[in-house]
Amino acid sequence: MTEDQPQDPVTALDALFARWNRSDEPGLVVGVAHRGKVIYRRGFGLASFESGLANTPKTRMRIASTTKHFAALACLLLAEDGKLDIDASIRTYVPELPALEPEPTLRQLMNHTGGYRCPTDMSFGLGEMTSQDSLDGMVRQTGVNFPAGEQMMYSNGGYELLSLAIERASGQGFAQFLAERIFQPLGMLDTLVASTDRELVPGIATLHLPSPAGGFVRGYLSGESRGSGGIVSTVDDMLIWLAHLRSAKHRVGSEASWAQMLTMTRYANGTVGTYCLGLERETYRGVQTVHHAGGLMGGACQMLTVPAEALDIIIITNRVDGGVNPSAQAEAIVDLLLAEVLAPPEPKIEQDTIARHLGRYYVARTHMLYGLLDSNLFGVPDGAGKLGFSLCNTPGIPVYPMADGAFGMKLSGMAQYVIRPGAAKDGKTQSLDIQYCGSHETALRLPDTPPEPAVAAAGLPGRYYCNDMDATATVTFAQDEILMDVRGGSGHVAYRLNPLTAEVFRANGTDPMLPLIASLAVERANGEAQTLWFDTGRTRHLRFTRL
Amino acid sequence: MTDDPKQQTPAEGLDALFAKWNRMDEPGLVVGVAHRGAVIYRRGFGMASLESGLVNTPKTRMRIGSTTKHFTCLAALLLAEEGKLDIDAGIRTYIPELPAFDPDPTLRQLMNHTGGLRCFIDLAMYSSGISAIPDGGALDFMVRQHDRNFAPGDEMIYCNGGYFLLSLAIERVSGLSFEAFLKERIFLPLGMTDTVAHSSDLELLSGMATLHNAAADGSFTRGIFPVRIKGEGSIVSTIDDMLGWIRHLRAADHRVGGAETWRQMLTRPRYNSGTESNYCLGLSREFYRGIETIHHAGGVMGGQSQMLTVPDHELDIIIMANRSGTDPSGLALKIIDILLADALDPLSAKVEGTVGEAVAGRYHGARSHLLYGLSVTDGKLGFSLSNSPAMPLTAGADGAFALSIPGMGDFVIRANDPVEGKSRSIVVDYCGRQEAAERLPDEPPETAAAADGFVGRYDGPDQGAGATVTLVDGHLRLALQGQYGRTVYKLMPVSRDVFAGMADDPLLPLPLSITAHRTGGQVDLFWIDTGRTRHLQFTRL
Repeated sequence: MTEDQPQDPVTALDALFARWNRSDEPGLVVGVAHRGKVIYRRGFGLASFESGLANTPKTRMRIASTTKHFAALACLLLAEDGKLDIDASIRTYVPELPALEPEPTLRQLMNHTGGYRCPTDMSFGLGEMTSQDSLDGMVRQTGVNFPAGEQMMYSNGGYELLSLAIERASGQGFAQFLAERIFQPLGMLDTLVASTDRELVPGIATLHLPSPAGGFVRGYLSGESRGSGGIVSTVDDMLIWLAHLRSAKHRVGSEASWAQMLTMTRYANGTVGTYCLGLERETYRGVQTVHHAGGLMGGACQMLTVPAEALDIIIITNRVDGGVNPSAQAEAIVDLLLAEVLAPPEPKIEQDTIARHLGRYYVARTHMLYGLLDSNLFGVPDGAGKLGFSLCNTPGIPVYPMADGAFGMKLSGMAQYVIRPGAAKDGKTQSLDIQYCGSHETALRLPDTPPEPAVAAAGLPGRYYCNDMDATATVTFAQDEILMDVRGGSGHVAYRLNPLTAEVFRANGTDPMLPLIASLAVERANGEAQTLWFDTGRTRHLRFTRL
Repeated sequence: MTDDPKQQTPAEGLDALFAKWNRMDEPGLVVGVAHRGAVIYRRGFGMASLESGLVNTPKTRMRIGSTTKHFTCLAALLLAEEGKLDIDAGIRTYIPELPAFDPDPTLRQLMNHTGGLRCFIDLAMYSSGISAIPDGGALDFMVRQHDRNFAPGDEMIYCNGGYFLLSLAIERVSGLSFEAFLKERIFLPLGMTDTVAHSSDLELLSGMATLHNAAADGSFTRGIFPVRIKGEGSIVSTIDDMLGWIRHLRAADHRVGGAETWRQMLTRPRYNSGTESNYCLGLSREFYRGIETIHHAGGVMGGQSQMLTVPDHELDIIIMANRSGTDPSGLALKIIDILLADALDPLSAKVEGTVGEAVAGRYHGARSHLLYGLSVTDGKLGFSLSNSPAMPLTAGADGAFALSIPGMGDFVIRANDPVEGKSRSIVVDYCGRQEAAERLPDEPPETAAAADGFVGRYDGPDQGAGATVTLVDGHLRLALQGQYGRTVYKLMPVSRDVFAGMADDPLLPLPLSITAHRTGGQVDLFWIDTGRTRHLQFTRL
């Protein structure tokens, strides 16, 4: 083989995945179909460090959130039967939910515009969540992330509610409904719903997380996940599914249902997002793609199709380290196989750091903490010197330049953020206009020098309770460190509180295996903190009140 | 092969014994047997993992659970041989952060479960269910205790927490991790190259069987114990390695550990009462049909083991199961029945205690607060401790009844002469120590009456738990909010101040008893007693 000879696709794909072609580490499975033919199906690495079996095209893997559009289709099948109205309020089917106006519809839960908080997000580190715990967590909410329809915030809890609606409307278990109505009719015989990692599924790969001590630990989530991420499948079954998904005539689901599946979301203010019903539609190098990724403890997935070119790709991994990135690798496959029809790659322009923008910005009204930071996310050399956008204390996520000095930031499963810096003073940008899902807010620069911890901690220690999280927080100050220990249903998480001002704190989980991130806003009366507002990427305005 | 046991070869007899696990749709077990210096049987049955589809083989690695304990004792004794550790010193010599109880239990007492300290696993399970305990959480439980189960040497209660402390002492004195110490000092010198101390079910070990919990409907789920364990039960091994180990254990000359060390390993301790215990240092010595056995069993979530040797007949047995519900201890005895048939005493008919209704009832220990239950089922007498399921009593001398509970000392129960057809009290002899227990009323009070003054919130600092007693729709419940989770118990009044509790979780039906203390009708504190935790105090908030 010489470099100027064009490689055949199989050789090129082998080269793309060669680094996982080893027998001492877990890896991934890949399936590719093009113009009606399966052209590639291979496993790389170990299915399980324990068993010593290799990944093969027959290895079952968890597709995680790629499950979501199956759950959406299941709802639409019941709608076709007249048993479910996806534009009805979720409380029609789950009346035990609190009445929080406006009530989200099933469709809004499907496209993550429902606004309900997600019990899964709130329970991280606080122990396992059964379906009942998840429902109980939903039922106790007294607030929402945002009013239904106004914006998009990825919600696994919403898909668990949809699963419950499917079960109640159909009278069948979620796993059974999907098997009978979707998997079996399409001949996806190796595909099933396994709602916990306690279930033993013949032929399933072990999920692997890198151990800080070297080697691998089991990726294990004891909680239940159904419509939000419970499906186990194989590359062969997923290729069957992809061919059906983009076909002109569907064997499962009416054409009207499929039209809805692929309709992009319109927010309340008229702006249109790329997320449909458990699927995303985006343009990549001039071709339209339909895709959805998945991620879980010890594995990841990307399902992508280019309908116009009849190109279907499924990549599922049983590790999360070692460079696996199914979304990027799916795009690399598109690059290889559609080289002749693709537009020239748009150079991915990451915005260079602009020193005057660097800093933290805050919206007092909503307690939202933003930041423009150096996005050296993982300490990689080529990440240095790029501008990153942070919300609720996340690391800086690289931004790209837009017109008129604005920046964009877009992650899978989110709408696009548009960040527009305001005027500068003394060489520092004083404010940011943040636009998300078509609505704006203005964040004002926080001082660059934080207060001494002892000053910021004044009036803060004590015990607080959060009804919506059903958790008690104990804030302590010792040895110049402010700690917040949040104790919930079956566990606790310790956060280190790093002051930005006496009122605004970055909260960072102290467990390196579960580096939880949040922001905290403090309200004091007579110098004593009375209320703490806790915000994360997927949960807003959780209120802790002093006990 | 013939069905007539007399004409079967030993291997055929063993194949027949294990035939029910010779199937490919269920997990099973691995069995190794050596007799008179020769390995005569090594086989795997069933699946190593219902996920991978691999079968159990003699090379399959399995968890041996608590059979780990005597390795931990030997490790401590190896350090004692070097003068680095004194196993007759108090445990606070090595772990000074423990609370000061007088006297401090010695390492040796922790080894034979007479130390009297409460166990973090029992404390955690009763308050938090099967929940993850972060590293450091185990020691936190042991350190936060204000009280203990009993004074060292008085009694025996199986205590995993004691072995956790021994592991910590080994680590501190040796400067090595427990896992590395066992590897360097025991496994490698003896060529047990497939054996490791593997502290977490969340860490992956190549060649290890999946653990399977059997459900009532015949299905299986993954067995995961989300707590890091050490000397109390972390070893993973193979039948070949374990057969090598058992041969070394009963050898006249030992390559690892001196003769004095091994003498101590197998010495029966005495309780303070002078009564002898058959639990040595992580090993039990018992007679079975006239022959002496040395053995220890193990149990983990989704796995079981039994290691047994008959030194006089050079018979070594290891059975490790990667599922629940196989009874390796019973199977090991059946192997003895098959292989040593000629040397064994006749199977003595097990005389179960039969007695009239005179003694049946509930009794309350005056000193211990323990709730003793004596019940008659099908004419057989059963004994229950703190609301546990009834265990059969055997008829002892002089009209007494006896019971041996694995991991505990021997019970002897004497009923006093009945008055109006009912024994008013019993005397319970445990580890040679007696206490009187008075009969509780046969008719329990109405729940609402007993709940009066009991409902409310309490704090249990030793368990690190809050307790809430509620009466809703006539149901009395105790909810414990522990460090890492929550448990709920149904409470049934036995008398106004004694309650029998059972966890409201069919998968983890934990029994307990409660003794309430009232001041002016109001309960101001109560004590919880379980099989392994005594008088755990909760005070009204």
